[in-house]
Amino acid sequence: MKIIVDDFVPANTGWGHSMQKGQILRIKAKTIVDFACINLHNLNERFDQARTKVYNMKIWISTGDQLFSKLNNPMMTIVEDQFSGQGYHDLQYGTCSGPRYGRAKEEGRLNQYHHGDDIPIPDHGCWENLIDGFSEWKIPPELIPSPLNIFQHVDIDVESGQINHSPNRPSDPIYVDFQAEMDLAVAASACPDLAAPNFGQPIQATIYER
Amino acid sequence: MSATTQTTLRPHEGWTGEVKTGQVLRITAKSMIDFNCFEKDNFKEYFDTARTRIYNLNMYPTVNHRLFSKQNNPMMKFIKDGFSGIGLHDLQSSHGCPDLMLKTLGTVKSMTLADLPDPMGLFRNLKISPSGQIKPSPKGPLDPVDIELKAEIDLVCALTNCPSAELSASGADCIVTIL
Repeated sequence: MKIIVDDFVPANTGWGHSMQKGQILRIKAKTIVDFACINLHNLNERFDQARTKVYNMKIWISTGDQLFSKLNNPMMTIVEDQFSGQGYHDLQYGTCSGPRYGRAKEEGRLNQYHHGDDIPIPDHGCWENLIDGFSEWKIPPELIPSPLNIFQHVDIDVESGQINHSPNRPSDPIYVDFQAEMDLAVAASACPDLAAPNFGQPIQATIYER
Repeated sequence: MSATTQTTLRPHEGWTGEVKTGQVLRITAKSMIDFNCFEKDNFKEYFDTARTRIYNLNMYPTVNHRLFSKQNNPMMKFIKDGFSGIGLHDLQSSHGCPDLMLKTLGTVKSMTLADLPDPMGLFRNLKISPSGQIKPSPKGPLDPVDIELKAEIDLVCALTNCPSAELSASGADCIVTIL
């Protein structure tokens, strides 16, 4: 294994880097990580939740499944998923954000996160963190893709469609490896993760070659 | 409430129009419709499927749900769902007829596929298994039903009448009314 990048990412901050086709991104964490990628040579080609779900014909992706762009091209392949068997990564949620938490507090909806109504809310979240992670490429806020939410296990009733936040997280940091299918700009957010038992935690982002 | 405008869309036609705060957009149809909306004076604020799913904490939009923007602001409220009890609208998929939507929107705002927001897929009835497998299950109503969306801000709305070849009710006209 040849390490290209190995970065510690503090809780509720963003991270970004370029990577080449064939290289592998390892995200290691025990908290939610909001993740997105963009074609390094065409910043208009961005990761897309809908195309990913429709290509793989599933709402929860894992080892062997591919992340797809809006333009219907494969961007990354999940080559190892240590969360498999414990929980699912999510493709329903957008990014959390300062405005999202502010509205939830105003409307008395913070108890959705299972810690009650009086938890302190952060002034920013994964939207702002991914803007920061992609800052080298100046991606406008409205074009930050809705992400792959790594380790965000969500309870979904597929009959009624009801979605519930879940505290199911790894007890110790584990990883997911993604292999780039094209040259990419990648960004990740160490989510403030208000539903987790101990809220948001730092993450490790590593890019390597086999 | 009286109609201010009414348009009939044949299959594979699109429509775009302004819907002011408080007005109701009624879509009367029995085959698949892809729907988008934008803040009237700012196309950077667009209907977002992910923000909508999470605000409502539900994958299937229906009565009393609100359509939310990327910026986490309410845009429309679902006030009538004639498909309820028959099938489910969809927030998982991309456009069935993206070229048609781009052509339709092009009359007000030039846009490329890369920037086209994912739609609300009315009458799409995508079934999801307990293991997360997606299974298209086309199932239109036998007769046209009304979907009503009330604008919470001034909007430009766009929709395409995009029937699926699998759908038994494919090829049906759609009526778009602003009340």
